[in-house]
Amino acid sequence: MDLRLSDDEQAIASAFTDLFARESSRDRVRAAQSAGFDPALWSALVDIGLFDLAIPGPDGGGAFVDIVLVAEAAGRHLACAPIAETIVARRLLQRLGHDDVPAGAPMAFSPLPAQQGRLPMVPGGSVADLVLGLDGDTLVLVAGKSSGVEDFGFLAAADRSLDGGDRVVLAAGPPAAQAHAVAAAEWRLVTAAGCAGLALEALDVAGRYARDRHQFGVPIGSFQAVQERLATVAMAADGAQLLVREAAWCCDAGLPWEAAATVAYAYAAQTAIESVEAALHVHGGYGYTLDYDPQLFLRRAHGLRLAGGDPEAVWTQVGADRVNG
Amino acid sequence: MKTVIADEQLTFLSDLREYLDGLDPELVAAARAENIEDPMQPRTHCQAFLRQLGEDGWLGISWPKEFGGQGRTDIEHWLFAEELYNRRLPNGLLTFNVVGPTIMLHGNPDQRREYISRIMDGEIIFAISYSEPDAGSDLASLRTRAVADGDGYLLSGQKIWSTGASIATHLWVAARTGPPEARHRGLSLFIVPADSPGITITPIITQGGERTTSIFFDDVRVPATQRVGAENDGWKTITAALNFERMFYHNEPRWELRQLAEWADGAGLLDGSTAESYELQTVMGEHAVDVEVCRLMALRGAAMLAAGQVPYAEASTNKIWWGELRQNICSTGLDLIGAEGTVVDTDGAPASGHLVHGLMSSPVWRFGGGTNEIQLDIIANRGWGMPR
Ligand SMILES: Cc1cc2nc3c(=O)[nH]c(=O)nc-3n(C[C@H](O)[C@H](O)[C@H](O)COP(=O)(O)OP(=O)(O)OC[C@H]3O[C@@H](n4cnc5c(N)ncnc54)[C@H](O)[C@@H]3O)c2cc1C
Repeated sequence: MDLRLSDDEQAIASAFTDLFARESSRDRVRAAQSAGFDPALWSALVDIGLFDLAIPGPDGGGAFVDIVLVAEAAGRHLACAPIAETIVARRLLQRLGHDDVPAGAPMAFSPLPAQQGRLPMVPGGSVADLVLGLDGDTLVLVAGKSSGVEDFGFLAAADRSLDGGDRVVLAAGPPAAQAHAVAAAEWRLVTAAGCAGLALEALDVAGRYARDRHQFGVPIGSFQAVQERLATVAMAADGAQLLVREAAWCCDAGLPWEAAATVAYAYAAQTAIESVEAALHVHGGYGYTLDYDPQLFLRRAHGLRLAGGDPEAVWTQVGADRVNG
Repeated sequence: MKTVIADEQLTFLSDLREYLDGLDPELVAAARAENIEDPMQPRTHCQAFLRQLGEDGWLGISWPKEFGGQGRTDIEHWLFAEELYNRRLPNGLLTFNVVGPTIMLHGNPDQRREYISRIMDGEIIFAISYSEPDAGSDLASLRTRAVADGDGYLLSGQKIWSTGASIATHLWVAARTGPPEARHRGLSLFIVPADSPGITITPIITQGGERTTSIFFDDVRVPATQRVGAENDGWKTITAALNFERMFYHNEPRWELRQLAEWADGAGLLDGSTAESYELQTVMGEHAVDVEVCRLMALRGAAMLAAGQVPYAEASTNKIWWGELRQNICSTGLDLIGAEGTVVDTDGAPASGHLVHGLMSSPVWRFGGGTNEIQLDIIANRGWGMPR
């Protein structure tokens, strides 16, 4: 694998970075926070053609490296939109021959199977009419609404029921489980990319602060204790980004990639939290106030990690994949 | 090794428990709820609770009887604080545990008589005003000035993070009386009534929900009698108070671990033999050991105080251990609870939302009372004699 991005990939990364910088500024994120969703950002993503890029079509599209570049940028800007969920659900529907979903509709998806017909705190669940999930041995698409609850990761999470309402069975038995497993791996990879982006952004913010803030007559970034704390997590964030990109590249190259996606998610989600903790700490008391941004990063990072299920179980999966692979 | 807790002290503890058990349950419940929501602002119910304790003779455990205290040792004071922490009830916070003891140590006889008795009556509450926007870790660079004027001083400048100032009656203010280049040798400590003309207090809201404040001093008149210790000799008073503060944190981690245990019990994880319950039990076991170490560090500090010493590196060790532990308990607790623990509305949330609340407030303990990096410096320099 060539770790450098191609010119086209660079162009995609910078187009989306610009879009998120504009449409998901910190002010916009703060305004969208309690809903976990920014409709204007969503329209901008639909208009720029995110879903044509992310879903294979007659004119190309669907390269996973492109997807993770978008997701990294989204993670950096704390985007309030169910990007991973919608991309993953749409790709799955397409693989199963259902491409009649309204273009541009946000969707909810959970990488976890339903418990007694219910998906707890599914990301996107409070804004998406359509939720796609595994209920026992059937893969279902359910239309409905949920009043939603405010989740502190502002992921528009909500409890959704899979066994009532307007429900279409997409697959049953082993093919359902298999299709869901692939989609869950895709979700983990896209979400891992978001976590890596979030970690890198938190460190950039911390680095800027450490250069500006003076104590004892010098920038706090000149203290070894501060440098080492940031450098330690910077290594991890770097590693998370490499893992994400390698898994995406494997996927595009037709190589086994699912286990690598789980590794990337387990590691990037943990790294996101560690990076944000470090960033918050470097800000001293200011980092703890609602006026500064670390709190936004911290809550989002925890939300992204828990959306994938018990973090220990994710690591257990990493181990099991190693043993069985 | 000597027994730290003697029979007499155990009797004290059981008397205390009996007393607390007998208090009006409504008063206790209201004080607890308020204390959990924001422990740094004892408001109506917490103040009523403390006044009740005062009336019944249960405050000022280690203060002399002549000031209305119980005249016991710091070990009993520690037992008292721990018991209240364990019930998540207010134990007098900075006023009783930091400012009061420092006035006893460095105040003059008049100040001791006046302030200790008023603290005991529940009449006054202190907030601590050291930090400034540009003087955090480097406290000795603070710029708020107290300029001599007649028989007192005029105070001007800005403080930040003065927690509890919105409900406090008095501020415990560090100000510069000497030249800036004198650094910590040019500071003095003042007791300033919070309603003095020229003081403006504005709120700051934190991610953990606690309120803290910014304070602006605009030529505030402070009589010389309000200065604690000699002019330019305030650093001694400030560091003593900081050590009391770093020592007074102790038992919340135990309470938080109990919230986790209660949640786990309800979820059937305490006696199960699934992978999840093993994981939970292992985590609980590890944390329980850390909680015990935390308790012992605080007890050691109390024993030093009882022997007339002020803990220094020991206080820093205590503070780091306690703060990191709270963060660990809440963070692993939330992982175990999972996504359902991320609901912001705490009605019906797992463990009543206490662990999420704890998780969001715990980062502050890595810098409140001085950042952990500064504490590590103190442990290395003061505790281990490393060169500066
Ligand atoms: C909720 C809250 C309540 C508080 N309550 C009070 C209060 O009641 N009264 C009061 O006076 N203060 C209070 N504080 C202030 C608190 O003590 C300070 O936040 C703390 O001392 C750190 O100062 P700072 O925030 O300016 O961070 P800075 O000093 O700017 O530090 C920023 C980062 O640089 C690091 N750093 C700085 N210097 C060094 C060094 N020499 N070596 C290595 N690392 C270094 C720090 O560890 C930190 O990570 C409170 C703060 C908060 C957030």
